[in-house]
Amino acid sequence: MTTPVRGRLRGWKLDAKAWAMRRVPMLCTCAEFDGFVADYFAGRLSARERLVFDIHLRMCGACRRFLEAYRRMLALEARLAGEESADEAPLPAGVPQGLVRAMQAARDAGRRSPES
Amino acid sequence: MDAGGPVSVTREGGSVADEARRPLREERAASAAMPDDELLRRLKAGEDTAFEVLVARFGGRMLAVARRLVGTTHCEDVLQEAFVQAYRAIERFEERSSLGTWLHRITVNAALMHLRSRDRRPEESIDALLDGYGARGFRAEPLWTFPRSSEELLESRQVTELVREKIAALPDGYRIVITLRDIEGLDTAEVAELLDMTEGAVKTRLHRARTALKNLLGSLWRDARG
Repeated sequence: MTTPVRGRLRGWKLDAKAWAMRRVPMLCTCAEFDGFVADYFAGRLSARERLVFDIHLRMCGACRRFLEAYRRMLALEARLAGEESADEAPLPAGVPQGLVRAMQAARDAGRRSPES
Repeated sequence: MDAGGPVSVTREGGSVADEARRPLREERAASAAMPDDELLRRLKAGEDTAFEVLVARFGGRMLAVARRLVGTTHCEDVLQEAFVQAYRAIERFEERSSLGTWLHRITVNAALMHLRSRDRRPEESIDALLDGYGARGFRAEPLWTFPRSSEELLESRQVTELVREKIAALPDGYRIVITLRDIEGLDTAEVAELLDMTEGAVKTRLHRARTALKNLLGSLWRDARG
């Protein structure tokens, strides 16, 4: 089979797939699949939504690759979050005293006008 | 070394200056070991020692939070505002969370107030950083993928620095949501309350921010498809 014919056949196949994703129940487009991704990772997809999600994933290589890259990005974020949770920034010289003075000023202002 | 007159010596053999410093060191050590409930009691009483302990114990972590949200230029202003707000609100602290968690929330609030008070610029679009869809509605894939060898990159500290850098490069509205949710660990409901948004809007914004971050990170490991 010549290349232009194969190319046309591939195009018809993709057109059919796109039509099906828009019209056949339980199928969805890539844009609709995107709408499920956040809930998928949060474990909040309903049973029906999970079925639609899984079916699309089986049919769409681009979304499989998207999901894999998204998953790896989340792993990198989690790693950063772990480091940040233990992160402490050293207070520059003079800052601790300034913070104490600010709280003292708030305390003294409160004592001068207790009703405010 | 001072070649002046003799140093006064106590009965135990140390200098008088050493004697004077010992109670101060012991007082500082006692302050550092002060449990949070005692610290709270003294804060409510307005004791100066309590202010010093509070700053020493939590200042570093609060500064790190402020810096993540507003950057290095204004983080000290936000930190001061957070401490003042914490002092003013201390009577209302019901101890339903730890003191550290409560202070974390106050710092986040102070940072968000600071961001809201800045000049209001039109929000930068994130669309250019997101995946597009082709004519048939299929996802238009970027010209790169995460290479399989990226797993070993997870071991490198440089990678987390890159993630931090790319998060900082996101438009403000999306950077705040992804930082609060994924880095500061707040849940969707908390983020929605802080930002005065619906939970649905937070979820949509978070997903778009994560997709943009995925693309920004992936562009570092450009890998020709084909």
